[in-house]
Amino acid sequence: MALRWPESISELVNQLSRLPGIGEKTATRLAFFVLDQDAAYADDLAGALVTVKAKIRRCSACGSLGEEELCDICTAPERDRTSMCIVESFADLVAIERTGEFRGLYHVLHGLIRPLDGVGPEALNLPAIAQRVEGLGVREVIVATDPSVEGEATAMYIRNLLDDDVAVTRIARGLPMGGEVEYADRATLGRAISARERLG
Amino acid sequence: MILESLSVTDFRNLSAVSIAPHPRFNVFVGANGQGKTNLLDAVHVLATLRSLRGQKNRELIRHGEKSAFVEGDVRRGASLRRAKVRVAANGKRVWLNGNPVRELNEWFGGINVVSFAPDDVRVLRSSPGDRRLFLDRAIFALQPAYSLVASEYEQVVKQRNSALRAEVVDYALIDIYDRQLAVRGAEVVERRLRFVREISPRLQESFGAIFDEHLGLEMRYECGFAREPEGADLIEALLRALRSSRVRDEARGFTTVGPHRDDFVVSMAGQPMRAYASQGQHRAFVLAFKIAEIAAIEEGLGAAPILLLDDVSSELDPKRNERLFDFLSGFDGQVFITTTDAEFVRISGESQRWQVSEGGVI
Ligand SMILES: Nc1ncnc2c1ncn2[C@@H]1O[C@H](COP(=O)(O)OP(=O)(O)OP(=O)(O)O)[C@@H](O)[C@H]1O
Ligand SMILES: [Mg+2]
Ligand SMILES: [Zn+2]
Repeated sequence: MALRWPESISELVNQLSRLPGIGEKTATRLAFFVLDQDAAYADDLAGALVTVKAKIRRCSACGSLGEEELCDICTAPERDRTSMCIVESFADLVAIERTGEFRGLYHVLHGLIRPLDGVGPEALNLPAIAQRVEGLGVREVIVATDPSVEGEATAMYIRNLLDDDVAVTRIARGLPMGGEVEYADRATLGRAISARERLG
Repeated sequence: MILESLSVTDFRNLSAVSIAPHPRFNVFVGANGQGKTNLLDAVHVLATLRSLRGQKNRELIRHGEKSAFVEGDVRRGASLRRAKVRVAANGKRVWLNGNPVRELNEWFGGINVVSFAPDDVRVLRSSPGDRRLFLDRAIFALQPAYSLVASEYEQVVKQRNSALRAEVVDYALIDIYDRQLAVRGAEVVERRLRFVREISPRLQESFGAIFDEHLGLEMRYECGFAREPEGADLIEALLRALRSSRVRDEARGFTTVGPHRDDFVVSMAGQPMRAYASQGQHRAFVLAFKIAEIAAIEEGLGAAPILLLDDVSSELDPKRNERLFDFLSGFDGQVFITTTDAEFVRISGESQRWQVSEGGVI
């Protein structure tokens, strides 16, 4: 405990270790990497962080991320407007998009229902779903929430929001346990989408 | 089955432990607070993905770290598998032979452990919560997949409790939690009932052997939402119970019915042991229970489980301690024993002694 780091280094380590999956050891390694680079690198990194926060916004229709009012998927004419996939996060949307198995529209919740963490249904992009589905004439809704109990509860909640004549299915099998959708490899996720199950 | 290697990283106070355990007896000696129990807990987590004392993930991770790892080579007959668990605050991840595990059933059935801790001796006089933990631990040992449904059940209880405490209660959401709880809660109770049914004859036998007489030992599961749970439609019964307790649950801010409130009773010659049994009879019960549990695993799996004995000699009287070591000398599996005093451990056979000190093992 003899040597204490200069304030600015420990501040950087602190900020970096708030990132998911980054422990104090990794944060320290990253901080010293940045210190070793020339000043331009630090400027670029800081600039990229500020820009992304300033430019990126949620699509006003589906909640996905982009730089315009409406995202690329919502404005693409070739997407199938009768089918909608509901995901927990933008990262999950990207993972599913990469499988190439789904050609419809998305709806991004930005979370799952977790009262334990203070997230009730009203805190999510949930209430808009029913209107969107009706407005677009969506006939099939695929709920791609992860296989946890919270993912299941959110899927059941969505089922209740929609009319009975809308088919609601859920992908659940074949995903890694404890397993956030974004970690699933492409083949697994592709299989999970084709093998979706109907929610009663 | 045998743990041929074990490495533990940032698990409680164990920062980096790497050992090649002896195939028979491993005696971990060390003063209080050095990490002996933590080491056994690491093995328990590797086997069941659950802490011995039912602790949360966060509590298992060494202070100041973001994740803990437990890894081991497990031999079962001719097959050798490398199992790895990462514990992070938001969940556990598992790998077998380096590959992420997709189906937990693939994982479970790999390692079976039977644990025995000092507090177990008081289980019948302790709280219902301690008894449920005791019972559940035995079921994890026999059917490790039980830990999955039990965790999910507990998780839903927590979500429902929080939802009940919301400013404006969303009853549609409570309905969903009731359905999730009914399905999982029914399975929890079914597995507990099946366990009690299966262990009972062995328990009577091993208790009789310790006392050299038959005292009519009986173990009965008490289900708060179904008076006669055997053969009942438990999903329906739990759903009904949850609905009728909703007003009360909302007033109290937690879920008052379900397997997380159940209990079991052991009686001897028709009298509940909790109130009537002597100190020696309590110790004999626990010892008999553990011996019965081991026998059930040996028969069910065709292989001896790994035994985790935490400081047990300190709680057993000399006579029961002798019984235990008699039993162990006839047991042919791998055993991990912790003790503060190597004098307590009467092992004549092959063994390896390990020194545990400040989170390190040598
Ligand atoms: N998450 C954690 N991070 C760091 N240290 C921890 C953590 N959890 C527990 N400890 C420490 O681990 C030590 C206890 O270890 P353990 O219970 O294994 O001791 P023990 O050797 O079994 O002692 P005893 O003989 O008293 O039973 C304590 O010093 C406790 O502070
Ligand atoms: Mg201890
Ligand atoms: Zn959009």
